[in-house]
Amino acid sequence: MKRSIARIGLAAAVAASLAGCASQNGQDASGGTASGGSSAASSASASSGQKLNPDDLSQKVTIRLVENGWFNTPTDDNDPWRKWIDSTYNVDFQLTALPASDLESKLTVQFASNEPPDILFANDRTVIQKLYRQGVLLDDWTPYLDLLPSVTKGFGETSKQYATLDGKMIGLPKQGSPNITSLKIRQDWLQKLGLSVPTTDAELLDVLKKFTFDDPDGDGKDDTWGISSAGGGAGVGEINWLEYMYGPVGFYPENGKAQHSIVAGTHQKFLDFMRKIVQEKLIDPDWYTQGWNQRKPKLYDGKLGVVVYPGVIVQEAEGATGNTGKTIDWFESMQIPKGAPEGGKRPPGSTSAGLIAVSAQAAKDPVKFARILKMIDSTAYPNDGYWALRWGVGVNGQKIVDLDGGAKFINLEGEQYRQDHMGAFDWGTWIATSADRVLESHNPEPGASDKKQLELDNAAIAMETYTNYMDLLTLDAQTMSDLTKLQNEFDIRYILGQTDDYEGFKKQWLASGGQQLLDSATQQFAELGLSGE
Amino acid sequence: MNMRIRSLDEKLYRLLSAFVIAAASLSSLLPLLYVLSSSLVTDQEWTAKNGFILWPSRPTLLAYEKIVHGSIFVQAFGVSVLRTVLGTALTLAATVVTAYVLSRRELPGRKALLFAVLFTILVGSGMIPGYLVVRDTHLLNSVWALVVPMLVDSWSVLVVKQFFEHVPSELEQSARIDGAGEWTLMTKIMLPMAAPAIAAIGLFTAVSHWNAWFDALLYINNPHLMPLQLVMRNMFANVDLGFDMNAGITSGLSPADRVSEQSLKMAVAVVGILPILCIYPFIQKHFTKGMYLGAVKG
Repeated sequence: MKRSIARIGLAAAVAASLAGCASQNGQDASGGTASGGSSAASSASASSGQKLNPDDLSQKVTIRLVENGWFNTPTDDNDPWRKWIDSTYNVDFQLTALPASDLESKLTVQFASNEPPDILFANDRTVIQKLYRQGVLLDDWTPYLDLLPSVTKGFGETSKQYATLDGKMIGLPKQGSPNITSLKIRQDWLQKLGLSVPTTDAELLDVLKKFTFDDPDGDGKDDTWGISSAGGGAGVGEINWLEYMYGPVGFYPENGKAQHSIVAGTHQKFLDFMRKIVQEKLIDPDWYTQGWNQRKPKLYDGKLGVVVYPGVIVQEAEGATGNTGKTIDWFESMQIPKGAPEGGKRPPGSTSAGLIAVSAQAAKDPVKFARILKMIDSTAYPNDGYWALRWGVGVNGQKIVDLDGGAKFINLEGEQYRQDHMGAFDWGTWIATSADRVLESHNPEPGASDKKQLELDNAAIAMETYTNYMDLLTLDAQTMSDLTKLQNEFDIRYILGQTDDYEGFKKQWLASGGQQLLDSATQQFAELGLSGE
Repeated sequence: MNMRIRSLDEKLYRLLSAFVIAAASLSSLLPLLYVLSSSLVTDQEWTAKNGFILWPSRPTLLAYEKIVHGSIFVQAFGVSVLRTVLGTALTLAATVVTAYVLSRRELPGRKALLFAVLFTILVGSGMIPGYLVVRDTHLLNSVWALVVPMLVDSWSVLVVKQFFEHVPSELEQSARIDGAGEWTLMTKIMLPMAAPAIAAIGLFTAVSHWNAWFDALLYINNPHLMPLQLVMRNMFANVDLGFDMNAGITSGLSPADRVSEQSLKMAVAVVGILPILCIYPFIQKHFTKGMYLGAVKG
């Protein structure tokens, strides 16, 4: 009898808990945060769209921004950026910056408790997509793009598609940063050995052989390698850039359907090349197991001829060798050699560095929404508001100096506030783009290594790249993870000569979810109007 | 002859014991030493040597300077100390009182109350209902939001209750004969007998409060009330700054000003565990006493 009462009591308690959770969700839905609320928000803002006056700053509003930050630490009441933004836009602006891993939890409780932020910024588009599907965000940005001319000017080829879901624009893509990473080659070794920068895979192979066996550093020892990687034990590492010698990598549209480099044969050509350089010992023997930082001693000891790196390699090399200046002319940027007619371009940079969204609740208030539009547009690169919020020009006494090649220089000397309160950098996180080409330094003017870094980065930016189609797709994460694992396991076995059965791998890849993803990608490309013809 | 063999055996045994204990101690101390020494390594040395650096050639406190730079650190440290001290004291008080009440066999509805306590071990509130309760009880953005939700830990209540129940009833009876009421019984008889358990629970609670950051993430928006662990976690959740920010921003710093991400993370670990390491020696005796209490009967 007592046990029955205990069981009934336990069941009742569990049922009450679940009912509490369910009724909470029901309250969320009826609290104007479900799609009904969203369409109400869009009609209110659509109707107020004709009345939105972003230039009217007469009324003070409170605006809360929650974002993925860099430092995510609070500032104090003396924060000059807060004072600037409050006075410039007549707002009481509250910034909350969080690591990417915590943003979703914070936003979830805020939206669930009907206290959402007004503006949100997430590096990960899926966070915004999840919230959008719950109907808690502005329904469609398309009617307001005319009020955001600076933002739309910064849109890339596929920016609108990146921000589109179910035919509607769910957020504003933050301007992507140009890809400053490229192959870097020891140009002093090339000169010493009388070689040219390789432009084909065969030429690259020849250069790697000479870098490995012809004592390019002139120390009389057989201690150099043509190339390296930092697989970290998980995969082939960044040397997978060489796959771009043979064509685009990953999913891409072709003749009205989605294609993938594994199926198209590009990947096999890359694996064959890798097998060759491993068998001929042209690659650092620790290439597969070492991590990025573990590889650095060899790199800065001058033992590696070709690496994949951004221009900061100069600064790091100088820092590791005591800033003597000897490493400044070591590396030059190099385009991907061509191994096939469709190959020979650099991997693409990111389409966007995240999405800016506005809550449905904020969009219902025409004064607040107009102010938000004003702020977003006037702080977009390259407006004055951008330089203020991102770099402190006109806020904290910073000055921008123009350099050759379109780059800019900011001297950190005297910039004490952000050194003491690093969270102040997060004022600029949601708008930052390295398209501004700013170099910050403690030196009063750019030194030799700074100039060299800019030169390398500029050279990389000028190189032709493939279009970033992967950023436009939303593919099943679990399947992608499983296929990546399958690919990594096969790659190393193939490279080491333990298997030759690429066709068997291809079939397994397709059967394990690859075909499913191809079908999904085909559909998504069609919806985005990308046929690849 | 036998005494000589025993003496030799004994020496060998002691030698072996010493060796095993030394090896065990080293295997415990080495990671701590590595964490400490890694926090003192310059970026230049990390780049040059990488791998296992047991002692840096030119130790630097730069990582600690970066962490404690600015008033935010001191403020956050103060919040952490406040929540730990307040939280531990109040949790122990609530736990002891609850456990004492539940240990009274004559308490009406004792089984139902015990069931209620057990139930909360199995079923938690969840993130959103928990947030709504804290919000609706007007605790948001206050240190009480960090203390009250953790006030009563059901597992701790059950442990202390068990200790109270094993106190000999003769002690209780003789105390009552001498005129002791419930409060005197609890504080002067039961509490000293359960000191080892309470010391252990106090330490676990203190460690929980010291290390907790997720509740602060949800319940605290006021930057002046962020505890240290949240501030440090936020700060170093994204230390790969060179590629996230402008390409020149970390490279613009001279090597003397640059601290490596490994050193930063290790310095964070040291700052995180140091207070607990300082407190532990003072309560260790209660742990050892607790161990012997169980071993010696009668």
